[in-house]
Amino acid sequence: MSFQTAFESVRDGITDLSQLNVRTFTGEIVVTAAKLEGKDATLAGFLKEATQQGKLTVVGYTNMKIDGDVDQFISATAAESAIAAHNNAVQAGQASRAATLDLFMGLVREGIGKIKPEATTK
Amino acid sequence: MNGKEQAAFSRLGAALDDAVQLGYVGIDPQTQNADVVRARRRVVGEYLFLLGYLAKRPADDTRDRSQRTGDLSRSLGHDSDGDIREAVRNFQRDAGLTADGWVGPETWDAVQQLASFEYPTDVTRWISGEKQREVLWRAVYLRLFAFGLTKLPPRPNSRLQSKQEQTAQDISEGLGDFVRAVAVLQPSAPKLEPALVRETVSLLFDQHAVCALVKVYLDNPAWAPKQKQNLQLIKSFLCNTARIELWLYGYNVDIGNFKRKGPFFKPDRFTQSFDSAMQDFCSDHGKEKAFCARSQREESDVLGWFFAHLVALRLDLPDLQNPEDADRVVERVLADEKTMTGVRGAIKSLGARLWDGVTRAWNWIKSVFKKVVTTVKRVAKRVITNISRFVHGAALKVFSHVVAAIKAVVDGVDFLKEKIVRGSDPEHMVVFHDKDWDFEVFVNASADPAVVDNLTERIALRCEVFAVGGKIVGNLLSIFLSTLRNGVTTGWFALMLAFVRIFKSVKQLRAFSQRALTLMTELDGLRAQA
Repeated sequence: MSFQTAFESVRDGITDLSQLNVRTFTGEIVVTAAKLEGKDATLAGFLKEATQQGKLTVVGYTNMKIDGDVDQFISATAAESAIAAHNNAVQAGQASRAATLDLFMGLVREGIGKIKPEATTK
Repeated sequence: MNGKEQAAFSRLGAALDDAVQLGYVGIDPQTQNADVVRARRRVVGEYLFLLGYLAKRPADDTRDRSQRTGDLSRSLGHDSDGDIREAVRNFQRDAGLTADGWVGPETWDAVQQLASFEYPTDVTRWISGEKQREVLWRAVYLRLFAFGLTKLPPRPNSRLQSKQEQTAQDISEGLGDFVRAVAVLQPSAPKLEPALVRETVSLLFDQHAVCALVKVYLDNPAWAPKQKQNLQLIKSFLCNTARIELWLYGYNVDIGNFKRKGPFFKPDRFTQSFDSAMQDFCSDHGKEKAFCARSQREESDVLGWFFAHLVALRLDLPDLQNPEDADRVVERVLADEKTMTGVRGAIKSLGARLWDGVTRAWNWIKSVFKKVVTTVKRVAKRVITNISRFVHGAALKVFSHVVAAIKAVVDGVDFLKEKIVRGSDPEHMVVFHDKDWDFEVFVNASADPAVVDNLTERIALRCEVFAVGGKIVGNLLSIFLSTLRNGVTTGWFALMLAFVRIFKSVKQLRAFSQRALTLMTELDGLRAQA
């Protein structure tokens, strides 16, 4: 993969890096393997099938805003591994979001005005 | 993200692709980039001359039309390409390599080991291989000549080992003198054997170790030999060792007296160039030129300061305290067209030594940047000359880190594009995330905690790899943009400017890339476990 392809791929997906959301559910998850592959591998598709087969319970919810505000809910009855998974996802999300900002957004801002714009014709 | 930012994204990606392809963010040792290949072959020409495989040394005249037109054979000062190919083939044959006349990575490595005075030499390889004896003899002969211990350098068409008895005898006597000099330098150490054995050859090829011995000797005046013969030997040895160091630092001296066919310490132009270079070195390193003038001071005082300073540069110098100095120096140099003309000439005329002196230049630059800001015009030429020597080594060192960073970022981008995190398993845990890094985590009530932990840890590691790789690539992109901003986009000069910037952050880059490699190894381990 070239850098250009990679950059464009990332660019197309970024819509809102100003806040981070992590939700963790637990329950009896029964889904077909196909739901985790190919075009069917969407969150909506997964949720639809998972909730048809059983009940999912939210055990963790974290919303972090760029100004530092944090909303968090952790279930007192959740399994230790589920809580660890949630906390880890929050940390991973924070690190990756910061890296994305550092790598892409910072460079874009530096690049604009420092690289001569391509010639335009009237 | 607005349209302007989106367009900039695409341009940045394309620019980095170009930069990687052209070698501006690190030189691939196997690059086919014309500038790099031409410069490398030019260096090989110089080394083959030193080892006696070429009769003429490569020309340093930057006005030579052949250099501008890229005619390699002429730029090397030879009438035909055949001379060079034949010299390379002879070297390869003697070195036990495939004699195809092509300077690939193996030939490049071999010639560096034997003739650069800087590159570490794998002595065992050359001593143990029967086929490699001829080339080892030539390299030993060159070192002895540079130390002033033989009267002649290795020359073409002389099979040193067998056919030239006189030459073989010279080498044998030279080794005897080398062992005698070392015995004076470290009186308490066991005596070396005056032959081509590992201990003797290892020290002969280890310029850093020789300098360290000289420094200790000069710190102990009581060790000075009483015999006149030994005194003369050690005096010549010290001066020639200093001469090699000055040559490696890029000062205008030669190793050994090729023109007059005699390396010994005599009052002639050969010696004058040494005095002049030593005075320049003093001046560049914060001493008055008069300090190094022979009429003003005892020679042993000058050499004592010189070797103490070399060792200090190598061992004790702290890191650059104010990295902004590097930028300021370069900006001031760039602003002065007259200086720039001299700088460009210096880079081009440096020839073979462009590739040497990495360690020395590294330490030297660190010290010079501290002092140079106020006197940039006077020393700019030398600063840039030494930077350019540093560039190649730095590029090779940084390249592996760049590769690690690119792998880390590519893995991170793959991760970012995944809707479902690789390794998700509905029996245990399924993790979704979007490109804004929002996560949806589903943990099965009957999950195995060990499997959940494994996947959780892998996610954390992949994020960290991405973050670390992003920092490295971000740094490199910033350097690249800075280079573009300076309006110089091709050739050695651009590379040099880029690496002045990398110099400032290379330690950080290394730390990042080593961390990235460690993380990726851990990640592979976790994947294997899963």
